[in-house]
Amino acid sequence: MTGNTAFVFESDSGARTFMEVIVERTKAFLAEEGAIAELSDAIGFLESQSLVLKSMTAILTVEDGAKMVLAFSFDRELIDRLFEQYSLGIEIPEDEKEMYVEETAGDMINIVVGNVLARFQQPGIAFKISTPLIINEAKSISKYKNTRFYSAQINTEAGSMMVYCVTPGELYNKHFKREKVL
Amino acid sequence: MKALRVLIVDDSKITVKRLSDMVKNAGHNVVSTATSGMLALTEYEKCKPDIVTMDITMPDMDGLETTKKLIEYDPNTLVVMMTSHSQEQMVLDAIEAGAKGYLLKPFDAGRLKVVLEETYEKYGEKNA
Repeated sequence: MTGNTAFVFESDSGARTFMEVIVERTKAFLAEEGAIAELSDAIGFLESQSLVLKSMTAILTVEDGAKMVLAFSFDRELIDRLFEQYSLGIEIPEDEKEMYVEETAGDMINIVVGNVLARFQQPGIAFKISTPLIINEAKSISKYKNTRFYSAQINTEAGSMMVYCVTPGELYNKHFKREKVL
Repeated sequence: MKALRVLIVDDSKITVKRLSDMVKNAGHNVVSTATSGMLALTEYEKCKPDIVTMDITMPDMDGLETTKKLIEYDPNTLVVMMTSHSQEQMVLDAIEAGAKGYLLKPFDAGRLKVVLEETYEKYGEKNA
């Protein structure tokens, strides 16, 4: 709590509820925009000391006074399938295809997160969403002290994706920015 | 309804392509596109479109600031905000910046056509 205002991301229950809603919207997006059926999902705390990223990951921050980092990490097959459907009927030059696949991942996280914010709005508090950042390699990010990871795995007919939520996000912002430069 | 001349502003190139496709299929013309707020100001000056579709979340200069600058340059500028952001406060911010319409992502082609045409009929025809 900060003064009389409860920020969604400050409590475990707030962050968990946020994750649940994000996962539901993610599954709907995959179905509506990618024609990809979901097979199963699981949400929980991440017990390990590191966050394992798949071959393509889109990351953004959401802030309502407290800050949260969200990451959508895709199996290559899944993001390729989503891209194929998302770009259906659009001419994409072959040498620019990878950039458009990345933008598909960025669009997805931006739309999913933006769409659910109305569910958590409080008078006088405007959420801020950053533009997405894309990480293009499988890697492991170590856990900082005092941060909490939430994770959800969504299994689909075209591979799986992880949804990660990290609170507080301030520590990870610096880390992800450094990763991009390297 | 005449064929509208539309300027599309969005930092996502795939969104620009998808929107361009929908605008053309709706019977209107995409006169230019811009992937940043700064480019949008330049393209607006060059093309003088009937209506602008404007993404809110963009790096450097966001859609709200770009809209304010466009309206400073031309008070008759018609802007429809395009965003994933569903929060009421964001709608209010868009109206305060001078936007005349608001459309939530992901886009629906039918809804896009309705919002563009209604916005132009309500605010644009008197300036034509």
